[in-house]
Amino acid sequence: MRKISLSLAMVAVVGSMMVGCSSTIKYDDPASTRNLETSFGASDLQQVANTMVDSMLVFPPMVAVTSQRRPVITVSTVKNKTDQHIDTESITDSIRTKLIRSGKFRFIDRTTDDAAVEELKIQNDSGLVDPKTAQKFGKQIGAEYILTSNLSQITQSAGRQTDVYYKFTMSLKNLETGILEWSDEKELRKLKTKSMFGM
Amino acid sequence: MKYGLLILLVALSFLGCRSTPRMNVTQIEGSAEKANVVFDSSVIGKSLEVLSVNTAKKDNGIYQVQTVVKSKYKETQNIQYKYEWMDADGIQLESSPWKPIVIYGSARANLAGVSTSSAATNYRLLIAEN
Repeated sequence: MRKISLSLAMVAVVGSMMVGCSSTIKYDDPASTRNLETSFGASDLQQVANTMVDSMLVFPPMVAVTSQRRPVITVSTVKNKTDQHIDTESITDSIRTKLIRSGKFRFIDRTTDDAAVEELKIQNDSGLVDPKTAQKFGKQIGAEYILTSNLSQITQSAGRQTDVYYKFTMSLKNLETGILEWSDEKELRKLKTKSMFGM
Repeated sequence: MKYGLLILLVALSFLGCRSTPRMNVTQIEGSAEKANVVFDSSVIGKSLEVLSVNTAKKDNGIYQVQTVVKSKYKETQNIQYKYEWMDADGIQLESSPWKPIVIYGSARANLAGVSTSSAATNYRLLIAEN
């Protein structure tokens, strides 16, 4: 009798484990800081982009420049020195979008040049477009500054703890003089402690 | 032996599901032109005290706000905050992502925000436990 009740109890516990976790799907806050892992996540991307934009907009020499005109900037790819595959273009896209939305800077985008050249060729050479309205070759504005950035990572782990440190450094270089007009870095540190029983 | 297995199973059943923590948010509203603070202290007021609010308007029309808070706890607190920016008509223009910050026991912390639009005149600071 005792054996039966013990078996029943075990069946009940196993059953409750299976019932407990049904999967649900819901929308969540895209700006949430929740982390599932120590890897570079969505919140990290947003914080890096936000910090860089805020810093650049209030840096006194940039305030002086942007209070009179809207400088033209080009963005170079991020040097990813971490051991992870990160869509670094997404970081620079966020930074560029925020800076454009601020109305203080203008950007050129070399990644879409192929499509632009194709369209210009049609406008100028195909005979389809009224020459009065066709956009001309050789009228694009050259960028005054280039945004360059690095993302690096230092990982330490001992026992059940893993400590991951990220550093994102961004600089704004004057293309003519080579001077770095602005630079800032954002540090992020994540500490993971594995639980005794967890996976 | 069997009891040991039963105890292990019960322990495992506790591990499986963690519910998402509820987020209680404190709101601080202010005008970027003057430090006019409305502080709802119901949630975070027990653990944090607002010491001062500084605002600055840059020559390029960008507003900078810094709210200085002080921890009332002796233990380290993990909080998160975000700024939402509104124009003169109260229409929301933008909001920053939640920014996590560690405040050590009895220490002060600066919660800084920058409006990326020069049309922003009012802001709302949201503080929540992390």
